[in-house]
Amino acid sequence: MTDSPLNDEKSFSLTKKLPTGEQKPRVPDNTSLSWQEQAYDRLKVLYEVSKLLSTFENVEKTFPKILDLCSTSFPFRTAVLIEKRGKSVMAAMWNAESVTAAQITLATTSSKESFIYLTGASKLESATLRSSEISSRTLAHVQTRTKSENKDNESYIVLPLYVDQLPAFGVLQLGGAPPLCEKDVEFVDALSNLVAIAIDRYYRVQYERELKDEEALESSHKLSRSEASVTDLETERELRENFVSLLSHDLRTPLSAARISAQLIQREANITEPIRSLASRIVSNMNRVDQMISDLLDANRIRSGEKLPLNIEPFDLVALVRRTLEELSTIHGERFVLKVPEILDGYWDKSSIRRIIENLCNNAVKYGSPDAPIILSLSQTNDQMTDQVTIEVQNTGDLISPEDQKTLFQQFRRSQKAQGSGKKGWGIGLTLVRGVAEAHGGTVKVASDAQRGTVFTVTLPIDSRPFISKEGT
Amino acid sequence: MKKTILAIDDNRETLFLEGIVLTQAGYQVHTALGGEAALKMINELKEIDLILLDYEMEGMNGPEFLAAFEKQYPLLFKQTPVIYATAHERPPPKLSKSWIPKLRDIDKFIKDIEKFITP
Repeated sequence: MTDSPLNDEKSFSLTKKLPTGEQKPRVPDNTSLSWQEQAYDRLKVLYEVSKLLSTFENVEKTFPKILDLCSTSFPFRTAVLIEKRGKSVMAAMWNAESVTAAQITLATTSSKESFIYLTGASKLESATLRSSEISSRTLAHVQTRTKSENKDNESYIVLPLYVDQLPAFGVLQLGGAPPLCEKDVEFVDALSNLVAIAIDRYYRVQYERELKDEEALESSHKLSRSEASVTDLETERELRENFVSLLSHDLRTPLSAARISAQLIQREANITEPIRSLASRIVSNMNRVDQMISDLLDANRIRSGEKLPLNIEPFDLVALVRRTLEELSTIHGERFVLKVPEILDGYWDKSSIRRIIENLCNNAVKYGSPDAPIILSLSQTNDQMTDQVTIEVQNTGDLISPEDQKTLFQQFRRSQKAQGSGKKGWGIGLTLVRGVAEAHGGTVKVASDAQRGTVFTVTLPIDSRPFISKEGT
Repeated sequence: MKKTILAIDDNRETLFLEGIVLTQAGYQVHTALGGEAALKMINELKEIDLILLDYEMEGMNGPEFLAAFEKQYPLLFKQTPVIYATAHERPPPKLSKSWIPKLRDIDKFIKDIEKFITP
C-alpha cells in the first residue's frame, strides 16, 4: 500500500508493492458447476468476504484474502484497489507481478471521476457511464462491446467504490476477467459494495475517533480555561477588595484631616458661636462619611468571609439601647416603644451593637408604616445551656416577600419593595447586622406576616468573648 | 519637663495636624516627613520619649525605618519606645510593635497616646 500524490497521472508510480495474495491466481474450478451450484458457491464466497470485512480492520489488510476467495469463484488475473483519501491516493494490488503500469494508470484515472470505466488495456478506449445509468444490464452491455474491440484479449472491470451515492472514493479494478454475464455483474457488484461499505465504515470509525480525540483535547483546553477563569475571578476579587480597602484608606486621610481641622476650630477660645456651630456641622458630617466608609469596609470584610474586628467589653445593653434610641428619636421623632428589662449585662462590642440597633431601627422607619410605633424588645433567653440575649425590632407596614427574605442579608441586596420605594440605600445595612451578629457568635433572622408585621430578631450570646477569633481582636 | 514625641508620616497634612494636636495636648513634638528625614532627626534630638510611626509610607515604610533605625543607632533603638499609627482598623499582620489608630478624632487620639506616655 502506498501513498502517492496524483498531481500528474503520468508520474504516478508505486514505490512499494504490497504483499499480495497468491502470486498465481487459481483457475476457478467452478466452471463445470451448474448455475445453482455456482450461485451457491458465490454466495459462500460473499459470505466469507463479509466475515473478513466485518473484522473492522483496514480493508488494505484483508484485501489479498478477499481476492483469493473471489478468484475461486470468478476468474480474473490481477486486481488493483485505488482509494482516494483527500489529496493522496492509496493503491493496493493483488497478483502485483502481473499488474502493468498502464493498468494502474487506468485505475487511477478512472478513480478520479464519478464514472464507470470499462476498457481494454492496449487501447485505452473507455466507455463511460454516468452514475444514473449504472445498471447491471448496461454494464454487461458495455463490457461485451468493449471486449469485442479488445485485441490482446485483456479487459478490465472497473468497479466504482461508493456508498449511498456517487462520487466514488475509489475503484476496484479486476484485470483479465472474462466477459461479464448478468450473474457475474451481480456478483462483482455485491463484492464492490461490500468492499466500499467496509472502507467507508473504517474511515468513519477513524474519523469519529479523531473527532473524539479532538473533543477530548478541546474539553481539556476548556477545563484549563475554566480553571484559569476561576483564578481570574479570585484575582478580580482580591483586586476589588484591595481597591475598596485602598479607597477607604485614601479617603480617610483627607477626611480625617478635615475633621481634625474642624475639631481644632471648635477648640479655639476666641471664635464666635456661628463659627463654632459651623465647625461642629463639619465634624458631624465628616463623622457620617467616616461611618459610611467603616460600613463599606466592614461589609467588604463580611463578603470576603473575614470576621469583623470586635472590641469586647462588659456593659449594660439596656442602657446602650436607651441611649441609641434617644439619639434616633431626635432625628425620627418619638417613634420607638421600648420593651426592655431593667438591666441586661453582657460582653459585646459596644459600637457594633449600636450599629445593629441603628440599622434595624433606621430600616423600620424607612420601610415601615410612617405613623405606627416601632417596637424594640430585649429579652434574655437560654438555649442549649447558653445564656442569650434577643433583640427584636418590630414594625408594621409593607411585608417582605419570602423571596426577598432569603436574599435580604446579602450585600448590596435590597428587596424589590425597597428598590421600588424610591428610598436610597446602599444595601449593606443588613449585611452589617448579620456580620456583627455572627462575629459575636449570634444570628439574625427576619419574619414578615400580616399578624405581627416585620420582625428582625438578633440573638447573641450573653458573653461573646469565646466567639472572638484572636485575629479579629 | 515635657515629654518628647517624634511623629513620622509621609503625609504632610497628617503630620501637621498631629503636631498641633499633640502640642495642644502638652507634648513636645517633632515631626519628620518620611523615614529618611526621621533618621537624621533622631541623631540631632538624642532624647525621644516616643516615636509615633506611620506604618504605610511611600519610600521607606514603617518596618524598613525600624530596621534602619536599629542598624544606625542600636543604643537609641533599644531605649526608644516606638508605636505604629495605622489607618487600618486592624493591626497589620505579624506586627511586633504596639499600634494605635491614626488621628481621626482628637480626644480618641490623645487617649490612645496616653496609654503609652502622658505629658
